Parts: sequence; C-alpha cells; structure tokens
Amino acid sequence: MIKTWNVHRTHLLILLALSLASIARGQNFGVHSDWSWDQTTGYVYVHAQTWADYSFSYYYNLYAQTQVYTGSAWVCTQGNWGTPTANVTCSTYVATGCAGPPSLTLTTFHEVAPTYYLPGHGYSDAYGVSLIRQSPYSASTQSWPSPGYAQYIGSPVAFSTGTQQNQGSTCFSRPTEETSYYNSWGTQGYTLAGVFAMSLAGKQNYYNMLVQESFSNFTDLCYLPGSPYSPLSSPIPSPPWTVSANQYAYDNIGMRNDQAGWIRYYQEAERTCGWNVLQSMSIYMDNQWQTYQSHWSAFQLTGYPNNPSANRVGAYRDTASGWIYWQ
Amino acid sequence: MRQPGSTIWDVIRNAVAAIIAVGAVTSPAALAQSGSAQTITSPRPLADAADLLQKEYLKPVTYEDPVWIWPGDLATRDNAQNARWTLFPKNRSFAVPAEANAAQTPALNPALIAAVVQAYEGQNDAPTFLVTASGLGVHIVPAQVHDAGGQLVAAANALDVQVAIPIAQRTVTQHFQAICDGVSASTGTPLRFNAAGVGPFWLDRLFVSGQAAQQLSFSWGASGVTARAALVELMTRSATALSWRLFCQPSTTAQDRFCVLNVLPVR
Repeated sequence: MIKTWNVHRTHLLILLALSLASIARGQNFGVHSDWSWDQTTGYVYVHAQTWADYSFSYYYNLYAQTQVYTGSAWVCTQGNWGTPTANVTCSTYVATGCAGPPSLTLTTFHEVAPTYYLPGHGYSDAYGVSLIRQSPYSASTQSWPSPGYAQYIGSPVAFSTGTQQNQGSTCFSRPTEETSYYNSWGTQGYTLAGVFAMSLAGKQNYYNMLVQESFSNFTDLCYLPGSPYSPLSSPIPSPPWTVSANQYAYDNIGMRNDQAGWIRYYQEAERTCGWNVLQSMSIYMDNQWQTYQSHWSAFQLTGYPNNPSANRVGAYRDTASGWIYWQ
Repeated sequence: MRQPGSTIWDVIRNAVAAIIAVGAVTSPAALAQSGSAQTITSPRPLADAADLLQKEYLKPVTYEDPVWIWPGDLATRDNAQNARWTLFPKNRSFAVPAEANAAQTPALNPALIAAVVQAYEGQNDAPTFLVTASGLGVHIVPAQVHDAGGQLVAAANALDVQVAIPIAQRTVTQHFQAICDGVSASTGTPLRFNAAGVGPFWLDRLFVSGQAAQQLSFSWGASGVTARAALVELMTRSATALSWRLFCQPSTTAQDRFCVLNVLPVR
C-alpha cells in the first residue's frame, strides 16, 4: 500500500529587529526554507532564502545554501548570493515507489556579510552595526545582542546560521529486479536440482531485509492418467531468506533425491516433460510483504529408453537454466 | 547459465515456453456433470472420487489399487514406441451419487463412501472394493480382483501385510520408506514411496512448519500391525492432514510390476 505523502513544508523564520537610534528604517533580516518530496517522480524540491530589508541589504550581502542528506549521499548542495534576497532552489531525484517519504535531512545555511570595505581596515560596518563582534547567537531569544562598533574582520562572513529539518519516516523502495543465475547442479542432498543464485537491484540497500517466495499455477506436466505416480503438488515455500548482500541466497529448483524413481519412471516412459510453477518473490518492508517479481520456475526431464545415456534433467529459474545428463 | 549449442535443450526450453504460454493443465480424470451427479471417466475412477470427496470434506479418503494382472483390466498406450511402461488400468466410468457433497451430506462418513463404492460397482465389473475407517479417515481397499485368468479372487493387498519397523530416529521420508521396504519384503512386489510434492523438505514441512522442518527427525517404529495401521499412526503425527493413493503399475512380466505409495496433503 502506498501512503499519501503530504507535501512537507517547513518555514523557519528568524526575525532580528535592530533598534538603532541612528537608523530610522527597520533593519530586519530573516531566513526561510521549505521543501517537498513527490513520491511519484521521486524528486525532492528544496528552497532556501535569506532576506533583509532594503536599508540593511544595502550594506550587506546575503547568502543562502541548501543541502540534503539521503542517508548515503549529499545532494542539492547549492548556494547563491543575492541582494536584497538570496534564493536557492534545487530539485533532484532521491527515491520513488515508497510506502512513505524518504529518510532525508535538509540543512540550509544563511549568511549575512558586510559589503563595505574600509581600506586599511578591511570589511567594516559604516553604521556601526556589526553582527560579527557580538556573539554568540541566542537560540533562546532567537536574536543577537545589540550591535557594537565596526572593526576589522578577517573573514567576509559576518553572520551565519543553519537550519536542519528531518523527514521522520523511512523510505522503502521495492527491488526493481531480481536476477537469477544458474550456479551449479546440486550436490549431496540435491543431486536432482539446479542451484540458482539470486541478486536484487533497486534504489536502496536491502541488507538484512527478509525475502520470501510463494507459489501458484503449479502444473505437473509428466502425469499420465493411469500412471502409478500421483500428480505432484505445488512446492511449499521455504522459510524467508535474510538478505546478506545483493546476491542474497541460493535456491534449489528441481526434485529431491528421494524422487529419483519418479524421474526414472517417466524417462522410461519415453517422456519429455516436467513441472512448472509461478514463483513470486516478496520483500518485507513497511510492515508488510510486498511482491516485487513473479517468474516461472521449472524442472524438465528427457527420456530415451533405447539410449539412456542421453537422458537429461534440467532446471529453470526465470531466464536462467542448467542441466545434466542423468539416468 | 544456459549451456551453449544444446539443440535438445533448446527443444525442451521451447516446449516449456509453449506450455507456459498455453497454460496447459493436466487433468487426472475426465469429469462430466449432468444435473446434480458427476460422471468420472478415468483409469481409477474411485481414486478420483476420493479426490473429490477429500476436497469437499477436507478429510482423508485413501485409495488402494489391486495389483493389476488380468489383461482384461488393462489398456495400452502405444504412442511411445520405445517406452517401457505402456500398460495402464483401462478407463472406467461411473456416476458419483448426487448425495456425495457437503450440501446434501454434511459430514463425511464411511456410509457415504460405501454408497460411492456401491455406485461404482453397480456400473462396472471387478475389481470390487471395501470401505474401512480408522482414526485418520476412510479407506477404499480392494476386495476382489481378477487373477491372471480373469477369475475373481480375494485381493491380496499390500497394506494388509504385517510389518515390523524397528523404533529408530529417522526423517519423515525415512519412516515412510521403512514401511514400504517392509511391505516390499513381505509381498515380493516392490512398493515405492513417493512424497507427491515438489521442493526440499516438502513432506517435512507438512509435518512441522518453518525452519524446524529442515531438522525434523523423530523416533518411531511399528510392530505387530498391518502396514495400513502403521501408515495411519505415522500420518496422525503430521500437522497437516495427509492421505495416500497406492497405485500399481501393470506389466506383462511379474518382475516389472510395482506399486507406489503416494503420500499427499488433504486439500
């Protein structure tokens, strides 16, 4: 089930009112950021802004920067300078098809930097308003102490702040594909079955997740009315596999050793036949099993009563297959 | 991966693809429904009736073949020139009594199965069958069969023989195999075991679920009882209701005759 994800929008507004007797107009600046994620396209949209009123911006440059952490990488790392506002927008693909939003962390940075340069003194504040000297920022009052006098600064960064927002849910992206590889013919207890390896591909790492199989549409194509062997029943699913790597498990497709008589009987009956079954693979995510692929698995035997050395058995899993001579 | 240059395998692969595309389903018996009664036509119509009733009532109804000897009971499959196994029980038909369903007869009981067998025998010649009951379910067992000359004689049923299975730790398959080995030794006609399903630990997973099936072995044995009673006792240990079909392969030569104990879940 795909949950509807409401656009997440967060505003962070910091207002700083500077009460300066020598400046009649308001001297305000603030920061703002918002973002959203589209589960259909898988894109995250980010916007950050640093703003100031005209008088303030006249003497200061503004900067806004965004970056989003997906859990494995930083994306949307972009920044812009601007006057009287600095804006930065970014959109980029992160994940789709999830039952919830991606696990994302948005971090924005906002700077206010003085632009007046006093020769011999570096950057300074002509109005005696420095956001540098007075520090630190008071998180409890969301304000800075009253500004003091201009002074030399070694860095153009006069003021910066950051905001951080987290999307609380975890994103699950079902595997887009499971690929089967014929590994070998079975040994020991599985000498009548092909051994297949499976690998998962998708938008995320499936490490430690559970994968299980289910079966439908099983058909015993060897059965002949009157045969002493009853029509075979469908496989019973194995217990779930725990994904240890993207190539996560081995699957035996074929017959058990105790069924050698069944194979030999139909080989002696000069048959080319077997069974096939629709094997559906599911992964446990977002508190439920979600099917990500169905494919046919099959077993085949070929019998030549007058030339038994040519008898074969083979196994299929999806598009992969393997066989041996067996009599 | 796929073996290169294998023309025979290509043929097999294409055959599988064609079968999948068509969605072919092998039907064990031809069923025809007229009014409220079904007519079954197959080499073993009573076995197919047992399948129907098991599915209807979800209770075990077992079936056992006689050892087929008389040519008059047999038919030949001649479309495989080199095949070893060309003889099968000939097709027979009978109309299943209309009351053989849960709507008209809510509970499965030996009387209902006896009525089905009586209907079969009323519409066919020998072999004839008996109906017995056990703690597992209801059993359809051969009563009279044709001997080699076509004369009716009392059936010598494989599962009527006494077995002595030493108590030992075995897997589920090994326990069933031990019963079959005991029967084979007593009758001289091989009784093969077939857990009639696909996949590793298929039978074990009918006995217990989950990972435990892969390590399942337990101590069991039987002595002084018939093979049928031993089967009943063993099957009652399963978490899933089990049933059996004992089918026999005819042959013109006695040494080629064998029977198969097919064990399958009730569903």
